Amino acid sequence: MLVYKTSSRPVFSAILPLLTVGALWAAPATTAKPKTPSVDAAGFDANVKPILRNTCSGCHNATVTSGGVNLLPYLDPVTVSEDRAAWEKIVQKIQSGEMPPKGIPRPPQEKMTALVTFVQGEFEKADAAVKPDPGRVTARRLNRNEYRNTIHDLLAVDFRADKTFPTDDSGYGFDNISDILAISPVLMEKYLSAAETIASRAMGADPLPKKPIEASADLKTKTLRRLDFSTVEATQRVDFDGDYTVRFGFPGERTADAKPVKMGFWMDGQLLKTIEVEMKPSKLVYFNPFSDAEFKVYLPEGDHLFRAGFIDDDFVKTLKDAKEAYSDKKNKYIGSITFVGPFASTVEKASRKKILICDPKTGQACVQKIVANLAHHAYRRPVTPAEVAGLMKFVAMAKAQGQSTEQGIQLALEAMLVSPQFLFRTERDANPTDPEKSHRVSDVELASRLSYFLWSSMPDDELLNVAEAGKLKDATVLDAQVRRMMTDKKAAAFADNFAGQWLEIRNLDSIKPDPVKFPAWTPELKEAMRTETNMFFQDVLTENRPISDFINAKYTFLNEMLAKYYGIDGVKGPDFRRVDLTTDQRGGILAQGSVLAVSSYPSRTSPTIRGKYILNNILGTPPPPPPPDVPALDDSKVGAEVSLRKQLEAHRANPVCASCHSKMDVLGFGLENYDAIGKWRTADGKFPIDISGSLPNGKSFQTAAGMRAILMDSMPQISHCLIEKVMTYALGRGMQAYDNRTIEQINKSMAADGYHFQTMIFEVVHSLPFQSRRGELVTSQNSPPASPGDTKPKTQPAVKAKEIAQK
Amino acid sequence: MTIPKALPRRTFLRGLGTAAIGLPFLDAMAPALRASTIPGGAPIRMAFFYVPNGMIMDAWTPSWEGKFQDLPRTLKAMEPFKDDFIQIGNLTHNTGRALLDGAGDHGRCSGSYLTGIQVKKSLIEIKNGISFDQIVANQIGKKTRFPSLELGMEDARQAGDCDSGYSCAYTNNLAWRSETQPLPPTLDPRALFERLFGTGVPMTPAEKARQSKYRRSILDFVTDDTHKLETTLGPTDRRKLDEYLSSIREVERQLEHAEKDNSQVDPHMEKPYGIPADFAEHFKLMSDMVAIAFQADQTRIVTFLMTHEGGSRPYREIGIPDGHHPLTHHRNQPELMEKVRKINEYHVKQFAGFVEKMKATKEGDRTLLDNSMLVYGAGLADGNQHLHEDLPTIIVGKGGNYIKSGRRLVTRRETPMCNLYLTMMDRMGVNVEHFGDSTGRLEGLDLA
Amino acid sequence: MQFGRGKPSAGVFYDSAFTTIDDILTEALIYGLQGKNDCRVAVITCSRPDLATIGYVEMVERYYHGPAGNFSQLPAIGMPTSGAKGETPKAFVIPFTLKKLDGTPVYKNEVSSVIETGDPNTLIRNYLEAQNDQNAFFVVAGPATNIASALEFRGMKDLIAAKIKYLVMATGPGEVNIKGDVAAAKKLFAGWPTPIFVSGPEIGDALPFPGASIEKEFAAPNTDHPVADAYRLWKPMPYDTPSYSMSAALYAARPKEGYFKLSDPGTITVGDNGKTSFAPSAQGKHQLLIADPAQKEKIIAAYVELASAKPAVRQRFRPDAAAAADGQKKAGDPAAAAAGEKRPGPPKP
Repeated sequence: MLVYKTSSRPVFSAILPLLTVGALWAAPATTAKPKTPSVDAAGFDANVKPILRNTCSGCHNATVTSGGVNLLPYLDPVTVSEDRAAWEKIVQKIQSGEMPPKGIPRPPQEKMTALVTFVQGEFEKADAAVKPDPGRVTARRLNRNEYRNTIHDLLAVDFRADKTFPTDDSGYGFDNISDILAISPVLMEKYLSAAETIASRAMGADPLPKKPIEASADLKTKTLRRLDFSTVEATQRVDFDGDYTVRFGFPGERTADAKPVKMGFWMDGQLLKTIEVEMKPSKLVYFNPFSDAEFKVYLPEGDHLFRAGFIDDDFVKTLKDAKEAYSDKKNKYIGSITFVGPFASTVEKASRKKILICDPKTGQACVQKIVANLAHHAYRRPVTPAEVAGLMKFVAMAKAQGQSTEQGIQLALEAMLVSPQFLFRTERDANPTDPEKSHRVSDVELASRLSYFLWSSMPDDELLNVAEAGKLKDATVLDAQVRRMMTDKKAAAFADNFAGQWLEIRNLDSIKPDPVKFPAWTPELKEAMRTETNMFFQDVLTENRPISDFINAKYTFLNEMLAKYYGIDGVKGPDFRRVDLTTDQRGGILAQGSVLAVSSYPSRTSPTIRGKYILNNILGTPPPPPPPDVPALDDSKVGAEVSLRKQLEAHRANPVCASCHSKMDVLGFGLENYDAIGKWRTADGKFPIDISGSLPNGKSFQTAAGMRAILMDSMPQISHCLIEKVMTYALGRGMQAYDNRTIEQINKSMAADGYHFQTMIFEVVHSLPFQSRRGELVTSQNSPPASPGDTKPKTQPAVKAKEIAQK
Repeated sequence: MTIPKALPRRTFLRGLGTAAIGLPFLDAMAPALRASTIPGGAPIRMAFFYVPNGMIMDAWTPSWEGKFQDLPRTLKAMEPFKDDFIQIGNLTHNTGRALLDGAGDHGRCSGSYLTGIQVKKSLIEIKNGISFDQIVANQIGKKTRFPSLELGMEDARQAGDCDSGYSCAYTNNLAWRSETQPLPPTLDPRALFERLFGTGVPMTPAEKARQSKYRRSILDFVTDDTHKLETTLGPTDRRKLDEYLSSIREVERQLEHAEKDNSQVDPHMEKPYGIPADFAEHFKLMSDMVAIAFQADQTRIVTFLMTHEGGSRPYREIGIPDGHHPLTHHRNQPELMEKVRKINEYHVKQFAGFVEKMKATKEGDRTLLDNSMLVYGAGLADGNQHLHEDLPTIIVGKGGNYIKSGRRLVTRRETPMCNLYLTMMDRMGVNVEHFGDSTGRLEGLDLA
Repeated sequence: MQFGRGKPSAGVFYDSAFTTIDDILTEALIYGLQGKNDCRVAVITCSRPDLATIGYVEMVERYYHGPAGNFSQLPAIGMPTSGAKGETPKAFVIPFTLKKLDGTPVYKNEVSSVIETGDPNTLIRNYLEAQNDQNAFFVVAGPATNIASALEFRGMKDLIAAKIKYLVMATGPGEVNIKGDVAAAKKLFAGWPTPIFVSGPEIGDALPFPGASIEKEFAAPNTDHPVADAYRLWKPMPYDTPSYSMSAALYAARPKEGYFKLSDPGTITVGDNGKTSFAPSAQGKHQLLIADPAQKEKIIAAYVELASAKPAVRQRFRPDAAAAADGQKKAGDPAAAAAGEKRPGPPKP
């Protein structure tokens, strides 16, 4: 939308009346008109002008600016190149059949097509005219996820950067945009102390306390929270890496024939262990029936959210209320969790194995080898002897302080982790300040581009090796690597970070559905929904499915809980698996709980938000922001006096609102069968759901599946949108006009190949912007701002309100 | 629709904003140092508490001016501190208005709240100005361990654009170190605690000395590393690395400072774990630490983002399950407006708890509160219509026997908020001719 | 949504001494123009620190603009805090004493203290920021006190150069608006960065506003009409009044209408005694309006039509006056012109 603002038209229109008044005024600086490629005026007059004038300008002129659009200025051929953004919009409206609207006499289809083909032809001409430009990616600071993954792959240390560092701001909907990732003193401070923590943990330097510490959380003291009758949760600080004994107390007992139940134990949403818990009354005689169970697990240092719960425990469903559920006579439940530890871990720390590739005691040569190896990986490139020497100074320094060689290595490691070489992904330019000179990025730089694209982490040894051997230029080697990486389990990061942001799934953590209206909303359900979408996305990638699956796949990924929630039978157990869908209630991401939940208000659905979601994330035609002074639609009375549909229709009576809402809302209503947490429904409050709708282009549907089918017709558009997002994410920069060409090329190959997802990845990896970069002019915008010297400032006397009031 | 031309409007505006930095400070500093401490030697502290989505003004603005009478409903919780604060009417942030940038009042008003700059409407090319708290921090911050603290309650939004094309950076941050460098607020009480009072793991002086020796040599090492790296990079890359370097310098400064004073502050409070789910509890933890930090003179400048402008946090704890922002577009429906009033009251109530603690803390023959200027305010007046004039603003504390509190002062209409900032900067001992879109100083604070 | 909307109608900055009924008719006139989307009233400033007068001016503004709220704010009236207060015309005070049959006052004065007014420089600066480049104009119908101060207000001169297309000044009877503040007038003519047009006394004298319209056109929409009431109170009816200020406003809003002839460009200088002199020169930025007898009827008709127009709710979405002109000019084809002018509205489906 910003593009419209910079359109050169207004300038022109602004100046004209001025010229007509005569040579009276010196034309202001604003008359300067940008150079633009010429447009085939004759073709324009033949194919475009008649329709624009006779069909469009009736509602889009100076006095009647329907939807705030005046097309008169666009009767001028030159606008096609001068104000492309506007023309792309015009063409898109005509192509989608959205314009001319019902009731307006429609020119014969071939004329419409002629218009579209002509304008698009002009676009291609224009694109062909611009010299290919790879663009330029600014030095990229590792964001929190990349930092955590990189530390993990580098040192096998799990450092919760997401809990330690401030949130990374996002731009274009992604938090890996180089220009946005700023660095502040607070962050610097944290990098420094994080480096200390990580290095010492990696070396296993912190001595464990002599005696194990015991900490416990229980229901009585409310340190253990009840999530439901069979699930509890506690936040617990773990101060040392190590083994801990986790003991569970189970008050109460069940009937003599009670079946044992499986209990899961999660840390920060990850299942660590499941055990069988006996539910029968124990033979022992307690005053209050009680039993316990324990196991040993390795727990990393940090604040953690621990959860324990009985999995598919049908028995509790037979209990009528909390009174029964927590009565020692009627039920057995989880009453306490106790942590005892730390104990020296039985296994040698993986991190030490990674660091100490030889025995430092054998002498300086080995120490040097260790430091060089660490730097090589931390900097993700070969290191020079000088660099190693620089780092070795720290080993010496530590020794001078009377510390051990290992502590010296630890100190050198700290230095590496604070170095810009580690924290930033910088790419060298032969001619940093010459925008004309573009060049391929080096194989080693390409390796990092690849690994942070697909893994959000550093290159592994195999990738780094082929790169350093200079083989990555070779397309077949490159493809082999990409194929390997896409199927590697690290590619889960691509689902987490790309899909998590593209589909806004990350917001699952920030939404807060009203527990009164939506008791079904539990942390497990939330996680299940997240898992479904992640696994589904990964499957489309690794199985190289067509991206049309995102819209209406005939399968998804479920576990028992989520399947029940969706009303699908025959799925047993906590583990997710691929499930074929037999009805058309579900299918594709728009029918997945995660997406439906993040596109709703806490207490109700909002067709407007969901419609906007589809336009933004699926079709890539974001609606313009509402006019300055229109309040956001208020549908808070919904379900009470009047149905949401009625309200929104009333809203749409206002032509200004209609211009966008007619599309947004209709799409949104297509999803009204799913409530604010994605559950299937046929009525909203006392009003039956009516989702039928017809889009501005006349196509209409009766069911959610029907709407998905209509969306399928827009495959080229959907694919274009996804390519744009993938490119943005892969490059860490916004798409510019000069990227159009690349995106279009990729989209062509996609179409040719049936829109398979991997094809998109391969095409992006091979594209010019991904493989090359160029220099950049020094401007006032990008060089540090010089503060304007303000020599003789003039303040006007501030008013003493009271005093004058007395006058 | 703005058009690039010889003198773009933004440059023009920014000119006004950054003029402040351009000034030769050194001569301005001499009176400064005197002003920034008051008789008795206690320094003056300054804090901003920002609440989003405007307010229901009928419950904020009384009919009277001058000496406080019966406090308006939203301010009731401040009753015990009636003599300790002043309410100011009619302050305006013109830079929050659309001017020619169309929708996005939330993004704009929060972005420009402390900078007085019309921020650049963009998801990616963030451009604001240095915020005035940072101008003060640059001058007097050297005297304390932390030049300033940036705190918040709500995690930054993860994905999506934060308001009609305005980057989330504008709503996630209040303080701006430079045009392009926001200072992200600390949200986690534990993190704040460790920052202020150390990890709690006791260190011998020798260990401390060694640690800071190591830290310093590491910082030297990476500084030098960066300079090597920079030579091969283009302008934007350099700019990034300059941010990195200036951050390093700041950390080095803190190290020096820490080395000088070995006195470990004892917070007399238990080290918090993680972020409490409960809003009130979270705010109490954070604000308690602010009071301690002020008392121990760890910092003199705090900006506190209660929640994000445009944020849709529900307030179940007071029986409001709907999001705050949707509610504020109440279109004059009584039941919605009532809910918003409740939220406004709730926020003030939390803040009042902090004021109480500040007042309870003695400093010389006065209280910590007397030596502070705690501004509590919003970037919008009426959130339904997105009004940027008559912004809700109170200043609690007398700024060192300066402000004549206990009354409502109404300025002329359209008086720039930045005029207040200029006056506050004077009090903090930083004399600047212009800031943001200021048109002069806001006088009358000291006239009973 | 904004695309293709071209330039919205121009913003008016009206600065006046408000010492004559003409000045008030001019306020009515610019609101009439706004009703026709020829322009939009940005902000009104008064050159005298006279709260009583401002109270009346503000009430007239409210009469046309409607009360604040519903997404349309009533901008403050600008007022300096120093300088001579001057006399408050009785006709601006008495209306507030008028009562309806039920005894309630006809008009409410909402300006009781300086805090309900704004600082002229701040107001002008803030509202200039909201204008598109070269798409606003100044009408000055009083001593140039505020303008001169604005010109010296830091940064403002550049802002004016960027936003304001031209300034039209009514020098008033005997050039009272020059003599009223000679220093200011000097600064204005010497320092104003964009063109200035001057409507001399002879123009206003040659185009008397017809008092008869007060009982006809004005009475029509609304019997309680603040401007009509003031007019009746000004002096014994019936009488016509010179249109010094109105002529300036009318030219400013409709420069292309051909209401007035223009002198060749030149430069106006103001002497210490307040005498003005005009030196023709090709590069001069100043021009004088010249009355054109042929246009008299048309102009007076326009005065009445615009000043008596009933309050029109200001359109939320600015129509594209300039773009319309643009469309016609550029495409130069009848259909566009028709679309610009005649087409009533979108065809009903």
